[in-house]
Amino acid sequence: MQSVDTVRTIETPEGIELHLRPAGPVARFWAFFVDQAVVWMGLMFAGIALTFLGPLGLGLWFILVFLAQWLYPVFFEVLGGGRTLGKRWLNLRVLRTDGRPIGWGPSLIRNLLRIVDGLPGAYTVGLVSILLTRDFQRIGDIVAGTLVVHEEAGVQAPVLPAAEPLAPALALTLEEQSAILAFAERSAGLTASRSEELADVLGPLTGSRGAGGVKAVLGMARYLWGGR
Amino acid sequence: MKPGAMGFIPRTRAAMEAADLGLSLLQAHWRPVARVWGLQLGFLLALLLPFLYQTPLWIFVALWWLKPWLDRGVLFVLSRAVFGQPASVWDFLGEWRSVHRRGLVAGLLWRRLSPMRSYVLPVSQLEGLRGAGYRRRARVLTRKGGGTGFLLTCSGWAFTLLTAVGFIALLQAMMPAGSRVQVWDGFNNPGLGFQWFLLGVGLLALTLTEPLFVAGGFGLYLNRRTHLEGWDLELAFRRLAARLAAPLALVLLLAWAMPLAAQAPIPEPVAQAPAPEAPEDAPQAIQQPGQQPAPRPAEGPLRPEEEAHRRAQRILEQDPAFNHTKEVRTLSYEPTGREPRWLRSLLDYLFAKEEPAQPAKPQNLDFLKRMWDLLALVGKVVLVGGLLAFVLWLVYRFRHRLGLPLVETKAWEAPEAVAGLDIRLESLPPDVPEAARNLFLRGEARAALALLYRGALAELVHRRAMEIPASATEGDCLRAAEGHLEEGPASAFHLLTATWQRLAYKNEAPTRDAFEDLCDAWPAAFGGRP
Repeated sequence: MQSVDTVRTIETPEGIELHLRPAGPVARFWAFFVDQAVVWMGLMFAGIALTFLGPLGLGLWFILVFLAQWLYPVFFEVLGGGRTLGKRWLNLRVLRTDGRPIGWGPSLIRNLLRIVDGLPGAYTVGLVSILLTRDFQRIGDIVAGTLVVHEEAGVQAPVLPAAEPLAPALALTLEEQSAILAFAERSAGLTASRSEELADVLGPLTGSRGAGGVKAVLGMARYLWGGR
Repeated sequence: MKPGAMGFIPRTRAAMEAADLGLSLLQAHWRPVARVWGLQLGFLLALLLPFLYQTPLWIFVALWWLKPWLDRGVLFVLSRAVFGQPASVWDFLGEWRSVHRRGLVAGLLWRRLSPMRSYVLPVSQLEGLRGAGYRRRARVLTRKGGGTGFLLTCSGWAFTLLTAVGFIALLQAMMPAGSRVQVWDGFNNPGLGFQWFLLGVGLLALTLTEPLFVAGGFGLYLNRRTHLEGWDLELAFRRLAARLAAPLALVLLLAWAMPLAAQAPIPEPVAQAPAPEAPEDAPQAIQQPGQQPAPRPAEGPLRPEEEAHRRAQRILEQDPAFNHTKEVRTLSYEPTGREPRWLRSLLDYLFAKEEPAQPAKPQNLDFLKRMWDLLALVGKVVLVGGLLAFVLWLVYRFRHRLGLPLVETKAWEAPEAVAGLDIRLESLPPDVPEAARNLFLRGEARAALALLYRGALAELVHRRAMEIPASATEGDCLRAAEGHLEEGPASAFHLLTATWQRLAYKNEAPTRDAFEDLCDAWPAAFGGRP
């Protein structure tokens, strides 16, 4: 059966695997919301300042509204590494579909095509497009070949619980090693009984059950982590 | 449960990403979700239409309030899909009792407006908890991701509303040119036809957005349990154990299987779900606002005694142009003289009639006005100046990206060393080839060749103005030289570089003859000092 995942793996020509996690409508809605709040806040202040110039100020203000609506996202996306303020807030980033950073061309296209995604007045086309595409792309994204992805928020150095280092009885694959390390990292957040259940699954490897099994798995994590 | 039997890949995701996991699940299983949704919606409509066919908007209100029941169908399909079981309409009907057994009444009454409704819905529907157990569990779950659950709910409202607005705007946009139909005007005086239209739009919007909301909440729920119970770890561990124990291990059953399929026969037909009573006169009240005749003004005591005032009052009352009255009720306070001072000052502060502002003396006013003008001017200068400064700063800050000419284009400075080799002219002996020959004869081939090579580099950099950075590799230098020198010196440098690299990296010293050739070519190619 098919297993649904949020991670899309892309292999670069250099043979490096990139893991992109496309962002769906909820996160993007709030990023858009924050961006609009920022833009209109700025326009409000600019408007207050421009009233001093009378009708000329009004004209300038309308020009400013136009520029802010159409070019604010472009400037921030290209100069801010694919992140407008709202996207920064929600840990989002715009990339090309092959994982490269976005440039002027794609950014301009995807933002000018908001006029299509905005149809018929409340972003219905964009929302439907996001719901229908596997990588949550609106029309502008599809045309520009871009993707909005989730980014890892502040990664913290892992803290492993103290344990006597213990060499595993056989060579482990990379995936298995990282699972054992992850178990040790997260053991503080698991209940004791759940920890034992999980460690019991590894009974064939540790040769013990219950609390002893947990201790053995933690020891292996310590060993894999570099403790000797 | 076998490691491969999960319908999603558990990872420790951030909450927002988990909500997207829900959408991915929905995309993968939208067909059964749509079927069950259609069944439920049809059922509700069949139930409501006979009572409310005259007031379609109330049908929508009722449906909107009964959303938690519709949500249960979506969640049923998705939860079955996640744990590898099919979920057709018949499965839904077969599991009718277990789907509705727990928490439906609470969900439709006091939990209806919970801000994290879809996030905690699985707790009652899938885990079957209620009462204190439910509250404890919900608290544990929402400790993380609760904020996202709330944002999910808010965006659910927003999506529904925006989609409905979008559909109405679409209809307006589809009106042929020259048509005088203004769809939006329907809101001013919603006739029956317009109400049916709104009901249709509302149902369409709900159908599009509600499953998204439920799926997002389910994604949050799955992710939170993955965090709490290490589902991803369990899968990885099982795979490892299976690798160790050969195919037998696959038969292991999970001790922690979720109480999904638990069923008990407690009949609770949904037909009893409360349908809001429709007040018969409600639409009429909506349809006729502002048509009652305005009430006549009460004949109050006319405080000003002048005849003119009376006459004006009469005109105001009789002339239809002025025949509007507005009743304004205010609280005011008349001191009686008996209250304590503090109370009096408080009441004065709260309710005192507005006193006319004390007229300021003319010259004072003039001075104030001038002060104000000055202040305004200063403000204007500061704001405009600040804006200009900000724009200039932006340009300066991003001058590299904008491709503007750099202000600080410093003259290129020759590095002191390239790739660890000293290339200052001062560090070279007066006659480089001769010194190199001496070194070579003493058996120090490496030092000799290094001297030749760095001597060549130094000459190129300092006398032929070849620009290479300190970080350049041998290959970089070679490329720079090929673009910079004529053919003869370039090929000499090529040979020198190749010889040097063979010695430096392969420890392969040149023969005496080859070395002599290099030394002979050196002065002509790199123009040693006289």
